[in-house]
This record gives sequence, C-alpha cells and structure tokens, in this order.
Amino acid sequence: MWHSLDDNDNAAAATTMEISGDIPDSTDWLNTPLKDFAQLENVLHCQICKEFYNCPMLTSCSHSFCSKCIRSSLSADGRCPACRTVDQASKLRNNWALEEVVATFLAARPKAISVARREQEQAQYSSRPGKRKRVVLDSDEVEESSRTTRSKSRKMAASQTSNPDVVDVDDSEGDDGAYEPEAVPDDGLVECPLGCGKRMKVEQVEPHLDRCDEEKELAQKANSRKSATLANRTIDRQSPRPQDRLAELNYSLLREQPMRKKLEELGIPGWGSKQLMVRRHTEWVNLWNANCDSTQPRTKRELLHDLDSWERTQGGKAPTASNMSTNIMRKDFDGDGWANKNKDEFSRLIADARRKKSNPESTPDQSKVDTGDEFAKPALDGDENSSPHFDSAGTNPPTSQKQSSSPYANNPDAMASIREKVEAANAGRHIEPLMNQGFENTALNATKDSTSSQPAHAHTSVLNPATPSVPGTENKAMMSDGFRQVREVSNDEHAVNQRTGSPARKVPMFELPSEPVNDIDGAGDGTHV
Amino acid sequence: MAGMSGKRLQKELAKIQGVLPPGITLVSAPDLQTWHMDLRILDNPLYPPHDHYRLKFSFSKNYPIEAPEVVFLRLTTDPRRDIPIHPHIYSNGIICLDLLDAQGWSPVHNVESICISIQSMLASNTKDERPPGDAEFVRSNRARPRDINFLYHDPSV
Repeated sequence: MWHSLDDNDNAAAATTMEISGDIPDSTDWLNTPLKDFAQLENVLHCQICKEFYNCPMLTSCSHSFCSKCIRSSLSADGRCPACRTVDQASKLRNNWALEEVVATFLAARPKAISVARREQEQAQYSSRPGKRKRVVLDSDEVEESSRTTRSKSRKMAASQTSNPDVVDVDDSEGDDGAYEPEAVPDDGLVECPLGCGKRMKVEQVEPHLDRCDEEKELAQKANSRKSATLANRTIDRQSPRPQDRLAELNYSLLREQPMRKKLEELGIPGWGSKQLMVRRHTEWVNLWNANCDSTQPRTKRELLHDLDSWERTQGGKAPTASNMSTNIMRKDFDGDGWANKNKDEFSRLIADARRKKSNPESTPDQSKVDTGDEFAKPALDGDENSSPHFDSAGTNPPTSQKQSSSPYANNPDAMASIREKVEAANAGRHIEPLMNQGFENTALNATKDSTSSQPAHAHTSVLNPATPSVPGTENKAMMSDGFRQVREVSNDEHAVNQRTGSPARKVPMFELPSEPVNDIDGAGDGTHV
Repeated sequence: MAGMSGKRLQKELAKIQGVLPPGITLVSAPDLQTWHMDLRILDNPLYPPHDHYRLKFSFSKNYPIEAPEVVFLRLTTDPRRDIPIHPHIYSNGIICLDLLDAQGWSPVHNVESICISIQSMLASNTKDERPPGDAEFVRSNRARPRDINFLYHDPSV
C-alpha cells in the first residue's frame, strides 16, 4: 500500500498536504528525517475508518478496531474485517494498552513533528552553498568535533534514510529548554514570536506562524485526551460501569408493533417501516455499546444527536437514492404491488396490442394522423371528433374504457353512429363492440372513418398532458388549430420514441403506462419506413 | 459516526492524489460519491500496455461497511475507453469479483486495494473471452451489481 512509496514522489505528496491545511496525517512524516514514523502512525490507525484508534476493541481473532467501527462491521456481516473469522459483538474486549499507546503518541506527536520539520528545513538550508553553511562551520569550530559529524549525518538523513540515533540527539537538543539559551548565539535562530518556545531561522518564522496555533491546539487536545483517559480509567477501576450494554434483538421474531414499542422504550424514534426500525435499532445498539466501551462516555443526548445525523444521512430522512442511480430500479421495489395497481392499464395495453395484431388494416388509419393525409383534407368531422379528447385526456390519466367511450358524448356524428348500431342491434344484427368500432373494415363511411382515427388522437394527447385543451365547438378555424397541435404532439412523440427506442435505452423494469405501444408502431410504419 | 464514509473517503482521496502503484491513476473525484480511475495492465499481451480502462466507483453512505459499486465504463468519445476482455467481466462492464460482493467485501479494503485486485485479476488472465452467457446477461440484467448473486466458481483469480 502507500507505505512503500518512494522518496521523491512522497515529497510532492507531503508538500501538497501541507499546503492543503495541515490535517494530521501519516504523510506529514515522510518528508522529514523521521519518516519511519509514518509507518508507526499508520499502525495506530483503525483499518476501517483510517483514523487513530478511538476506543480500540479486540476481536476474538486478536485484531483491533475502533469500537463503533467493528460493531457496525459485525452487525453488517458478522466477520472480522481483517481475517474473515466469524465473530460477535458481545465477544469484543477493550484493548486498553493500545488505547494508551494512541493517546500517548497523539500527545507527543505535535512536538515530534515540529522538531522533524525543523530538522528537514535546516538540512535543506545547510545543503545549499552560501552563508548558512559558513555559520554551521563556525559553530562547529566553536563546539566540540562531534557536532560536525552530527550535522553531516543530519544531511545524509534528510537525503536518504533516517538515522534514529541522530534523531534522538537532535530531539533532546531541540526540546530541552535549558539548552536553548546557550544555542542562541550559535544558531542565529529566532524564537517564535507567538511564544510557543520554538526556535527557527528568520525565513521560517512566517510559515511557522500559520502552523503555530494548530500545533499548540493539537498538543493540548492530545494531552487532555491522555489525561482524561488516565483519569477515567482510575475511576473505572473503582466503580462498575454506569451503563449496561444493550442486547441485540432477534428482529425476525419481533413483529412491527412490539418493535415500535421497544424503540420507544429505548427513547429513540419509532416511526417508519419495520425494516427501517431494524436498521435504526442496530445503529443505536452500536452507538450505545460503543459508548459503553469508551472511557469517556458521552451523554444520551449526544448519542441521540449522532443517531439523528445517521437518520439524515442513511436512515429514514436520508435523501432518496435518486441522485445516485436514477436509471436503476429500487432495491425494495414492490413489483407485485405495482403490477396489481396498474393491472387495468397493463391489460388495456395488452388488449390494444392483440387487437392491433389481428387487425393490421387499422395501421393506415392511424398513420393518417401523422402523415397529414387527413390534415390536408378540409377539416371535416375528423377534426370535430378529435377536439373533445383534449379535455378528457388532459385531465384524466389513461383509464381503459372510459377514455374511448366518454368523448363520444359531445360528438353528434359519433352519437349518431352509436345510435345506428343500437338500432341495428335491436333489429337483431351483429354488434361490433364499441372499442373495435374503428377497426372494423366494413362500411367505410365518413363517420366510421372519423371514429377510427380517434384512438390515435386520444393517445397522442395523452402523451402530452401539457397540450392546451380546446373546447369542443363547431368553429372550423379553431378546430384546425387543435388539429395542428395534435400533429405537433405526434411529431414530438416520434422524436421521443426514436431516442428512447435506441438499444442503449435504460428504463425501469415496469415503466410502461405512458406509452401506448401500438400507436407508435403504426405511426412509425406510416411515416418513417 | 454517521459521516464515516465522508471522512474515510477524504483520507483515501488525499492518499490517492499522491502516489499510486504503476498503472493506476485517478481520473476524477468530483464528490465523495463517484470516482473514476484509469487502469493500465502492464505485462499481459492480452491488454496492450498503452490501453487504459476506466473504472467507476460508486460509494454508498455506508462505505466502508458496505462495498462500493465498481464497474468498467465504455467511453466512445475521446478519450476512448473499452471494457477489457476477461472471463469474469461482462461486456456491460459488470465485474464478477468476490471482493466486490457483500460476502467477500471487508471494510479494510480501499479504493487502491480494489484497483490492485482488479489489475492483478486482468494481469493474470490468459483467456481472451467473455463470461459464459454474456450476451444473455447483458441483455436481461437490470439489477445493480451488488444485488446480483454471482457464483464464485473459479478460485484461480
């Protein structure tokens, strides 16, 4: 992994890190003589969250992770993330030694890193020819000869591998307050104007000022963490745990109502589906138990706040996954429910398709609408027939029979035709079902022709609910306007279908209702082939 | 700790922007949900060393507890990217790798280790073929990669 990076590139990485705001990171060490500390810092990181261990727990297989991390992981798949051994959250044990190591390291880190950085800067400077080198030589002459080898080896350490011995000596030299006043004349360094006690070259003061506060803060934080840890542990030994761990529930045995009750007893929200409640309870148990493991337990209020932020990011109030994957069906999509809900629509579409198949002659009728054959003719009853559909289709979603039957009410010609049929029926002749009226190929009079074109109109207008509704009057000019709109709509429809009909199309599995399949085919054949 | 994925991904991103193993490059990481990586296979004659393959990582809020979704992308515009031929990679880019499945995933993996795994899976490949039933799968599959139950029958990769 990134431990085994080579030197030059690391330098680049480390500098970008420094520029980007100096967040404590293991790469901080890479550019300094103490670069083996990067490795040390990495092994003090939890492998799940990649942060310093926060309340490390030992698994049965002797791996350590943050309490919250390993609890989440175990409740997700019940195995140790590192070695895949089956394990249970109840078998986790605190790794106090590791916790102390982390706290101690964090407390020591800021000073160590500043020393390491100073070393690096000095080494860089002294490797350049010029004034500084002479100063070093001068001070070497004044001091004993061992000093020379140190500065030489320091240079070497910076350019190649680090030398722990040298580092140790420099460390004590830098941090030992008693030694510093003596070093003033030797080094030509100045003290940090903010009073952190560090000494540096004049050129380094400016960059240091940015870091000085952060470093102090870090040191304080780590110190307080350490002292808190130690203080709490002494308390811990005296008194038993203030809070008991929560047991995991057997969710499959619990019904929704008892589950809801259980959640409310715990003082956490009890709304949502059972699935959501299970997830919320799991999260809460993990939060709670991790808090029990901790040496610095937080209050329930803080935990509830954590749960609330979980709720907003991953729970019931989380933004739906739409932004991530709109083209993919939801995981918990209720296919049967959807099928039942839209049964009418589906069966209508199937019926349409079957009818179409058995009556291929109807295709030219429908294509007329789009090719403009009928449009070219002076608008006759065909136009009048189309007009009432805007009202019904614009407001109603396509609902089977109602769609094709209600529009006739305002249409004198159609009504006449129906009456004719009724009379015929009364006279004992064969009746064609209303739906199939238009597709009947006998007796092609003007009335029938017009009714036959109706389904196409209805569907095209359905496709575009934004089509303005045209009142069903007898005004010819207005009618032809309406007809033009129908034509435009149908053109749009083609464009849409050409796009979505491409092989690369991605639609949810059950998205059917808005496109009457047969009309598209018919129209497509008429115009484009 | 609800923001675990964000924090961890930021750390990973910082690392990735530094140095990566040879043949792996970060293309873009506009947010902490979707990242694009380019992969080059160095020593396998099946994949010319100058050919790059585009990987798309999609992270859920539950990362790293939950595995990211990793697929190959085919780009037809410049830069062109194709989907590598491999007996475990479908021609729509879905990768059959136990590491990416709920059972095989472990939170200790990261983007880099996934890239290395896929890279080595390709590097060790000797068969110039798609998985059996590729055409059928590509035509019919609408499920997300993580919901597909692959049968891991080949321990050699």
